[in-house]
Amino acid sequence: MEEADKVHEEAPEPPVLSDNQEDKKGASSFKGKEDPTEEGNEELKTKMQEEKKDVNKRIMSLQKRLTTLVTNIQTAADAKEMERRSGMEDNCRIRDERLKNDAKACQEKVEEIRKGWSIVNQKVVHSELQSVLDSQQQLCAAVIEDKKKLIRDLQQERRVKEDQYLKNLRRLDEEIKLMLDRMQQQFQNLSKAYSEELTQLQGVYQQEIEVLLAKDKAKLDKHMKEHWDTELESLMERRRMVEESEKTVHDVMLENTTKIKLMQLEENAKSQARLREQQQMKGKSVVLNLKQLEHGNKNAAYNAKLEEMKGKILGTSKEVKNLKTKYAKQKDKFMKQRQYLSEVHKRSRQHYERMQKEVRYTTAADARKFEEMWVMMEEEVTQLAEKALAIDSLICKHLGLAWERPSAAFMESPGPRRSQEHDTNPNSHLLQTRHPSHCSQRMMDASVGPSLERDSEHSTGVEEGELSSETLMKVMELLCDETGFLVEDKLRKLLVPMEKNEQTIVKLHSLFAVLGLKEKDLPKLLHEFLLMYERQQGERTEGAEAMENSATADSTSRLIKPNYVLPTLRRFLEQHRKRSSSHQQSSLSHPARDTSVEEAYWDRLGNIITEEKLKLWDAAERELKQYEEVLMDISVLVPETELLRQQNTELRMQLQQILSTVLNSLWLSAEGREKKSRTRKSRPSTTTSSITQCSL
Amino acid sequence: MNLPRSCRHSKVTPRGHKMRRIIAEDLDWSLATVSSLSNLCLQCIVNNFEEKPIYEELTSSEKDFIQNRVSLSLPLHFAANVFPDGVYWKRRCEQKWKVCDVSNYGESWKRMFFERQLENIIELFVPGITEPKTVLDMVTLCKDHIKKLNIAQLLPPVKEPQTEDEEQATELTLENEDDKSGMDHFDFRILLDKLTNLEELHLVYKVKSCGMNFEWSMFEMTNRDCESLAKALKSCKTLKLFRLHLSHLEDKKCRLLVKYLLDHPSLRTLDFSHNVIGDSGARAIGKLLTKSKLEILNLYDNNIGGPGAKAIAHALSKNTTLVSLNLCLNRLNDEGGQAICKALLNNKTLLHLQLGANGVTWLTALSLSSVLAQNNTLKSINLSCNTLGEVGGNALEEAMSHNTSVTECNIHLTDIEERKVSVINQMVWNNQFRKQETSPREKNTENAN
Repeated sequence: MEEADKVHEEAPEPPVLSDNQEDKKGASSFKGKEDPTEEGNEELKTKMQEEKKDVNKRIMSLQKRLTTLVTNIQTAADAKEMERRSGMEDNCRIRDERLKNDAKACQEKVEEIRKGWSIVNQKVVHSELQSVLDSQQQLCAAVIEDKKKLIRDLQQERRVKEDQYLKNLRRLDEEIKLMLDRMQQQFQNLSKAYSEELTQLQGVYQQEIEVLLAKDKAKLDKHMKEHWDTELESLMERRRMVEESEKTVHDVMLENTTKIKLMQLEENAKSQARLREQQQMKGKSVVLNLKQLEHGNKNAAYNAKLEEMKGKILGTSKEVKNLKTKYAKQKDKFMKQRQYLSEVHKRSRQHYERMQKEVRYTTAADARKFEEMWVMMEEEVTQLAEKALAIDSLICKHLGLAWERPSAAFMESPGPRRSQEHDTNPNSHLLQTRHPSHCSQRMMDASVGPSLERDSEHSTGVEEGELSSETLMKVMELLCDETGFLVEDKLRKLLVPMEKNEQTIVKLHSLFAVLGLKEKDLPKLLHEFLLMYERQQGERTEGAEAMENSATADSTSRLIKPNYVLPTLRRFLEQHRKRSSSHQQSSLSHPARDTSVEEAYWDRLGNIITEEKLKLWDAAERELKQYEEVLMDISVLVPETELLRQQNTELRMQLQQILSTVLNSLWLSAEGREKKSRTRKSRPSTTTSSITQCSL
Repeated sequence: MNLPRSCRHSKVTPRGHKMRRIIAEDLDWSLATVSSLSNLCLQCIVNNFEEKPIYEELTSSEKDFIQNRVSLSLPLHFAANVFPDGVYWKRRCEQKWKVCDVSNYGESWKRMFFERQLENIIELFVPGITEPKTVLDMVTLCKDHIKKLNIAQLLPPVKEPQTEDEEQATELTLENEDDKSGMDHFDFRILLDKLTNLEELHLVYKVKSCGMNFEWSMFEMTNRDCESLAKALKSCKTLKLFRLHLSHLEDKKCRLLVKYLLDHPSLRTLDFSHNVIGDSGARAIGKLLTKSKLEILNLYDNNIGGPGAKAIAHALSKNTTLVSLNLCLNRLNDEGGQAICKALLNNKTLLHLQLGANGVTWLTALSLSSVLAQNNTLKSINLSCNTLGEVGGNALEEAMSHNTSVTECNIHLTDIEERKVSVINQMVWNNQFRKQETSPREKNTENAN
């Protein structure tokens, strides 16, 4: 049975291998024949189908092989079972027959025994009876022997069967093991075959996919390219179209505007012509009326004509009205726009002013803060310097050196900042308060600005310059005369009846208004320029001293020549504008600082303790350290000495005690001895007294 | 000198603060690994799931989160109602059993869990000792999920070691023993009418790994068992497959079972393989074939002889539902074989016929070949282990040359010439391949449409 199975099992294997090999060949050949052309593709497709068919076939054969194996095993088992059943039946039959034979034999023997019993009943003679009984007994024994034999046989059989059964079980076990092994092998084979199949299939499909992909990609690229080209073309065309249309639109717009203007002009002309016509018509109608009166019968015809004319007139008047309303609308619109724009302008100006103010405020605040900081720093530094000096003095005193306060004046004087703070008082004290020695250290307060300063100086100078009102008036008159062309005719007419002075004042006002100046600028203008210009001219020609003389000598002679008035005025205006702008700038700019002065001050503060002093300090420190060490040693030694002293006193006490006891004993012995020798009495007493003295 | 130190100090401390600002005692705490608040909330739900189950109102991803993390020791009656089929049951299954093939359970982990759980309980049920309540409790939980029960053993009740007095007593009451419930197995009546979705029932009356305690009674069912099982089967209206194998089923019990199965509304598959059914049992089954709508009948390895086969053949000639008939390893002989082959002349539904190892000879082969020549419905035939001989082989070869439907034909060990066997196999192979060819094409056309 098993052999048959094995045959079945082994037989189908080679074809699978050959199939695989063929497939491999097919795959390789397929690889070789790969062609990107369409014919190649068709071939490829047919090839693929064949491949698929092959694969299907192979898989089917594999499956069939497997199932046949299973069925083989099952049929084998069935056959075995059949065999077993038939064997069992045979055995049963044999056993039955044997039992039947046995039973028959037994029956015969029992019959014999029964016959024997009947004989026993017939027999009367004892010996005969005995022999019969014996034979009977033998028969029974034989029967029993038979039965026993049968039982033994059956038992033997059973034992054999048991052994067989056991063997059978063992065999079954082995078979099952074998079967399991085979199944395992089968599994491996199948999975191997499937994996091979899979890899091949994968390869084939991969190739197919790649080919298809490449084809599709090429197609896609082509299509895309075409598409893009067409798109680009259409786009270019459209662009051209747009440009053309733009051009045409522009032209049309221009044409339209010119046309509209022309039409408006025509319209105006027409309306005027119509008005004229109307009037003429009116005149004509009057004449016609007269004619009507004269020619009553012609009335009707003329009336009709008149009606027509009236209609025309009404139409034209309507048109005129329309035009007027249009105009009004336009006007309103522009007014509104103007208002809006002016508001916007105002707002922006306000905003700008606010910004400026803020900036000015912040700069001022920053400056103040800086000042305060600086002052504080200076104070701190001076304090530190003071401290350093105090320490220096202490050291000097300790070392026994004479100490001098270095440059007391410098120390007492406040820092450049602080001193300046004191100076930010009125400008009039500027020159008087400035100490010559400190002048260089001061910094110009930039916030005041050079121009303002100059202005104030000039103004004061002008006040002091005893400029008479006469000259003033003269200059003013001159100015008015020369710049008369700037004054309007109407004003001049109005001024005719006034006095000359008033005239000049009013003229000046109007003039200033025109030039954009203010009244406070007036004296400046007058003196600075109308007078100074002359002076400068003089300077150039005559020299500085002569000019000054002439300037102080006669103010009237300093009056400018009328010819120079206009150029000077222009120059003044220019300067004035520049100044105002520079004023604004300077108010924004940060004050410059005089760093060199501060540097010097700080250097001096830094060097208040000189290098020599420092060396001295170092030396002193070293010395003091040594001294401290010595002192430390001493402090260590002090308790020791204390201890020693205490010991000393204790020892002295002991000595005294000892001495006193000795003395007592001596005393007693001396008294004893006194009786013997009184003459030596004085000596021991002296000795004792000396000893006591010593102990004390 | 003080300034820099203080600076360094102040630099170090804020960085340290930043690293772990909240949990000072947890050294592993780091801002990067803190999970989001929603996750923390879900974790909280998971931790307190038994006290406060929040599940239905969550989104699907949150449900997944909870199913993945909820403790597996939740009481079953609680979990069964809360969780639908999903990850939770997968986890429970994998915790309980090493091998879990969910494809055998309709891809439902919950079904797998409950079915195997119930099977375990029934297989370890010891009548008289185990409370039937344990089974009933389980049934109330899982009655909606169980479709298939595969019970591989049924334990008999424990026998008390008998003293001598009792032995004598038992001898006296020997006749009444059948009526005693002493050796009865688990009573399916309490179970089957409650399982409203049960479709398959596989039963074996045997004891696994009984060792030296072997007794024949362990491997058969008692009469009372049979009766209770029959009633239980009748009460289960959804059953489609019933399989009772290796249980020493005799004619009497078979008749009893079949009697109760006669009017079963849904039964489609009946499997009595590896039993000892004889002719009278086969007659009963033949009656069943005429009355019910059985599609698959398996009587493999029984004791059916000619008369029984005749009864089955008679039913087969009238039947229009049976698709597969397995009579392998019986004692049909030519009497039964010929009867069945004749019945096939009138039958157009049977696809699979198995007559292997039945002791039939060339006579049956002749009648079968006459069937094959005109019947084009049969797909597979099994005639293995029969002594068909040369004559039978020739007849079959002749018949196969006219046939196109048979795709499987097992004629191993039938004393037919090797050459003819291969010829017949080749023909069968051609049939099979033709069919394989046509079926994908049909599929393709279907797809195209």
